[in-house]
Amino acid sequence: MATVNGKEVDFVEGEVLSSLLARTGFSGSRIAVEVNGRILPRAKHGEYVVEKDDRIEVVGLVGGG
Amino acid sequence: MRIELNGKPADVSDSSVFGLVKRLKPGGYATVDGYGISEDMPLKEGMSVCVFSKIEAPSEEEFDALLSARESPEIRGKMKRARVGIAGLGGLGSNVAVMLARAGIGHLVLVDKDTVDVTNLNRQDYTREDIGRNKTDALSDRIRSFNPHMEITTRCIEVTEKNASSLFSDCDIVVEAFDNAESKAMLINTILAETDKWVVSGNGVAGYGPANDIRTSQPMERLIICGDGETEARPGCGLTAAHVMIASAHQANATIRLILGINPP
Repeated sequence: MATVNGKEVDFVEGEVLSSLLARTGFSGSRIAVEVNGRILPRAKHGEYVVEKDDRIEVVGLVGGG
Repeated sequence: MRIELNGKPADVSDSSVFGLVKRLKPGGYATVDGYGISEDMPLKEGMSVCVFSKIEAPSEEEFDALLSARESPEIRGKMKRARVGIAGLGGLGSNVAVMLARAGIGHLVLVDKDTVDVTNLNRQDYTREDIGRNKTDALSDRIRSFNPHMEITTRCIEVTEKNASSLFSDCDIVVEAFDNAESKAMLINTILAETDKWVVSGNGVAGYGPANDIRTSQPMERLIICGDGETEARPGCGLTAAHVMIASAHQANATIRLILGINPP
């Protein structure tokens, strides 16, 4: 089991992070992601393979300021 | 007796604070331990007193002494040494910058490519006379009108993922105050991945929701988010001074806590 913002999520072995995030409602250009306490560069979102016990934190940015 | 007068040791023979004021700055006023007094009190050994003219602005030393007395020399020292970058000088950024400057921060780096326009005036700290001016110039002038002694660096340039780290290389903390969601994400990702600096971001500041929905949270190791995290600015759900400034005050407060080393920030 991995967690996204503290909630457990299922994933398929070999699934990349961007695929898992898309299923949990987060996409592409308006997010920042930390995996196990370290920021994951955006270029790696489509490459990083999710592992068991990964703690994933995602922030979705919205316009306005 | 020996007191601290405007930040320096001084030997005085006046018996009361008002007597001291009358001698040094007739018609003026005094603070004792950082607070203005309305009633006279006896002068005591070791008291920290600042005396000001009612009509002249204080000198740099007097101003510094007041801030030290108000906050303690240790806090004053940390604030003076702090260098904070403000990315975006709009509803969030102009207000965060003003608050940090009023609190006596030593150095601000103000970054925005835009000019002031009339639609900004409902929430951004600019005047009608600023319309058409670069925000970097207008905000610098605004800050200098009440804190002329701090350092201000201005960079009137668009921030991209290629230049972000170098634009803020001389800052300890970066306040993310952009309007556009992609830019916000770009800056957070770039600063967190390429540097070891903290980012204090404003996210979800639109609309007329309850003030209590605006929170400060720390979702990542070096990221603080101030806002409700959700409410996006769009037609019918605009940006107003009161609501945006709650979030910008959260950002300024979190930045000051980081500067002072208060944990959790």
